[in-house]
Amino acid sequence: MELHIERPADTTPASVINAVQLATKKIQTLRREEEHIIVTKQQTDDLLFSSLITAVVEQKRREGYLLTMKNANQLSSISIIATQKRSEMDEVIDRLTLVFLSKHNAIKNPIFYILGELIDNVFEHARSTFIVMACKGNDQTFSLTVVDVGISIPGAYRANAIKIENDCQALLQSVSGVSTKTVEERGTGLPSVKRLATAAFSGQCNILSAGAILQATPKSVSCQNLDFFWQGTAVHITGALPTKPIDLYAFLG
Amino acid sequence: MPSLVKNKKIYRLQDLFGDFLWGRMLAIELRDNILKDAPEKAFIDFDGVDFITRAFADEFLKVRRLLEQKNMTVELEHVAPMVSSMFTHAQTPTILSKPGRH
Repeated sequence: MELHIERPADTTPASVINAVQLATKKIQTLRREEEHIIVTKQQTDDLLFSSLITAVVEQKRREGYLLTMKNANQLSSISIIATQKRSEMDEVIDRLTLVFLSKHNAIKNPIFYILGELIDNVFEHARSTFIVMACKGNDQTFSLTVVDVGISIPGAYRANAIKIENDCQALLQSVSGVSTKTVEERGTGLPSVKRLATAAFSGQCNILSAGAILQATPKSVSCQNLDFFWQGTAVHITGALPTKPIDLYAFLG
Repeated sequence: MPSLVKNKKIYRLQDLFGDFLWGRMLAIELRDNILKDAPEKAFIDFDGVDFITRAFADEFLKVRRLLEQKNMTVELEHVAPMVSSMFTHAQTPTILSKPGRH
């Protein structure tokens, strides 16, 4: 049977979350023993939406549901990586380098830095069984998404007995450098990612984690508590391709 | 596999782990390999390694200190400028604010 889901009306985080919420509700109604094909009504070009839906479907597959995806997975840049298999991650990095970064050498190091921080975060904090990673770009812009289904950023703070008032506060703390770790050297991962996205690439960095979403632009950082809950973390970065190579370390703390 | 030269060993990271080194576990795996071999001198060859993440760099530096405390000599070879910069970055104290605790 086919299950049709609606793509977001636009690429704003509010629309994407609304569409993911509706799609998730539909997917939750499926019966484990029946085969289903998840069809997005039009091929979406929004990486955050596609990645989140891919993660929802992958999660259900791992629970034994017989699901396949049409349309969203046709975006060849989307990869599902089992965190217990290091070789899968290496293959994705190799493909990304070959397909995307070889054409955009000026951003290779900052993109690798961002990916490295996000991957390290998943492996060190998130306790996620898999990652969904996606990247696309053209001659002017690029976007990059890393989604996990782990304990979330607020969950990581709570697991380390670090006081937070609500999920928004946790996200704001995470980009201001309050690490979930106790050792002094840590605490620059997400702040550096945010700084690179907004300053080096004049772009945006959206972080959805548990019940909140943080939006950082070159001019502001804002956070909203949601009536939607994502069990894990999704980081979505969009930016403009620079004309000159970026001095990565000029943007790091 | 690392090449054996008397009581020295060369650990070619690209052969062992690939050209993008991420996470602490790779550094820990390297540490365990070296401790098992227990050479007097370990050459760690970064030839072909394009990028290391901050977590790998941080853990690697800890591994290096540990090995040196055990009287092993550790030498790095063919370290690309990008990799070298990440080691410098990982060594720099960068805490921005202290977490509040229960």
